[in-house]
Amino acid sequence: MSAVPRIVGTRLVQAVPLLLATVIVNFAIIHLAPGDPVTMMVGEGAVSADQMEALRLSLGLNNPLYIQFLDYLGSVLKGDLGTSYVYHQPVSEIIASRIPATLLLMGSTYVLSTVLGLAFGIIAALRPSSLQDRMLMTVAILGYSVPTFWLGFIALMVFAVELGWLPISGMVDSGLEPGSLGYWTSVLHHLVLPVAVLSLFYTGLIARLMRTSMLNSLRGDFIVTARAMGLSRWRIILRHAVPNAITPIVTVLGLQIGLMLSGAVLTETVFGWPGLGVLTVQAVAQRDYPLLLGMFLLTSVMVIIANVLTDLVYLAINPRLRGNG
Amino acid sequence: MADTATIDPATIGTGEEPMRTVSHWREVWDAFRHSRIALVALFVLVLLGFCALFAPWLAPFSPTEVNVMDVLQGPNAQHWWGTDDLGRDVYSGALYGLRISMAVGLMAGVVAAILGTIIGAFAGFIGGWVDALLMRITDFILTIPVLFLALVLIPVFGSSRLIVILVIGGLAWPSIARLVRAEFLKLRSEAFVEAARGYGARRLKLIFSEMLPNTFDLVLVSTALQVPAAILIEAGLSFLGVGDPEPRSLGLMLKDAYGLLGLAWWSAVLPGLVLSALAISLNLVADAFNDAVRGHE
Repeated sequence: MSAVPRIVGTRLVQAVPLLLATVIVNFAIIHLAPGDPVTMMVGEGAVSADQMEALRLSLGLNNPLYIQFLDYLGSVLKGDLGTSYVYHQPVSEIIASRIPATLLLMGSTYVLSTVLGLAFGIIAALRPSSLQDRMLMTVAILGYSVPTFWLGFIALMVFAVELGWLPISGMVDSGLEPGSLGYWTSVLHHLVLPVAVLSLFYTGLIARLMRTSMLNSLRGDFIVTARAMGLSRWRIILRHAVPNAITPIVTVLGLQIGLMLSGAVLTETVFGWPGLGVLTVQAVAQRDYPLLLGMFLLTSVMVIIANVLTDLVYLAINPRLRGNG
Repeated sequence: MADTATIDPATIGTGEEPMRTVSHWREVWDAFRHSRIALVALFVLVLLGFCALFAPWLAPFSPTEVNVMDVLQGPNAQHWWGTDDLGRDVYSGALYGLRISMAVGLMAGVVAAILGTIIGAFAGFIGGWVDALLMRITDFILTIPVLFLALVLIPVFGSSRLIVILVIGGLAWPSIARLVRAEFLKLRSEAFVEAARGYGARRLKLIFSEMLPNTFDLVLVSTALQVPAAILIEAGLSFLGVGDPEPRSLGLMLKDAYGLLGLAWWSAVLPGLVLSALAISLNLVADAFNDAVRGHE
């Protein structure tokens, strides 16, 4: 596996200009953003003009732009993303505190929709144009065409409000001791609806991709060979066709990790899930730019991590790329 | 790819190169027609388009008119789809909302098509490091969570319809660019392009009069695939409060209905069904169109 460090290394080196670009865009947005940062921080008319000027000075806002940029770059490198206008806490701490909730929601959705999507895609491709194929694919298109936020709150209306089977909002009932069995049962209970709704969307996308890839794979010469060798139908499908079909869509699956933040924003808002998505929507509503820019930076970091992970998985399942680096 | 046109050497340079012609579109339509579900979707889409176009004549009420006497009425003879908590007519709101959704989706599609075509064409035509750089940017944008970025960017630029369209369209071009690039790489070595080059055609003329017309149907298809996504993103942004500034769109109606959770099912279910019908029919039509143009498996 000598290629692994090299590929990870290449990716990380390529990530540097990407991150730098993000930081530059971030910096530009700070300066483009309407409203004066000092006014934003202390509130309109809260302090005298002299005090404002002193604050500007201490924040380095009177320095030339490139000095300000270098300052900003330096603090980003130190993990200092500034202080939230609204919470008056370090942005990095606020973001870190919300990551587990989003990770739980997105991770569950990701695993569930990948497994289901691949399975449905394979089943549909086995008999193209059959009834099962057409039904699965129609459901798949419905899955990614129906707006998730709408489906989410229709599901809320039915299962939470009308039937009362599932909780309406949040991630856990209050008053439970964190880490106890009751706590996790409650979390699981809260997780059902958002994961089900969001999974429908991603399952549809993945199923469509897998079907196309599987159809291509089934047409390959190696399938004819395997059949000629007298291998059983299921052995051919599971050992030969499926691995070949999965390889090209690993890239798509990996990149989906970054894209899932969009899904998180809407789903978390509908279900009151206390993660990064809700945090971002609140930051937008309150024009909390340091927090927003922190989220922006986090997004690019996630995209880069997704890229590296994708390469690694691709490497792991595609032996042709291994060995002689 | 359904490149059915053949080259007659006699026509090269005379303006009768193998453009995708009327007969090409006939073939596409014949392939499209094969799918019954696509035909149904096309019918629904045309119907929705008609409703959007003639909303001012079809809507019995003003979409924004507040009427405190008719608050939260269920569907009835006067208000077919009921009213919301401000007494606004849901049916009229949905008709006007449809208009906004379609306009924003189509315009974002146009922006994406223009950007994608230009970027893809230059990457494919020039090649070398320009191509490498453009494709890196393209791949990067492809991995950006669009709704999320739009959510962060729109408050910075200010929320107007133009900004919403530019941001959504400005992030939706990569798949179009990749397609145009791939097609250009292929076309570059095709006989009729070579011939025109040998003939002394200038670069820009080569791009505009020889190569672009031959990628037109692919651009159209991949743009069509982007439009439903753009519509859902706009609705999602409106739902979050940063979409189209019009006071009543499908996304905003759903946002208001969400606030009334369980109080007025009609204000949530009906506009959502309209939005879903639009996205579903667009996706089905774009999909069948895509299969028809590329020659279905």
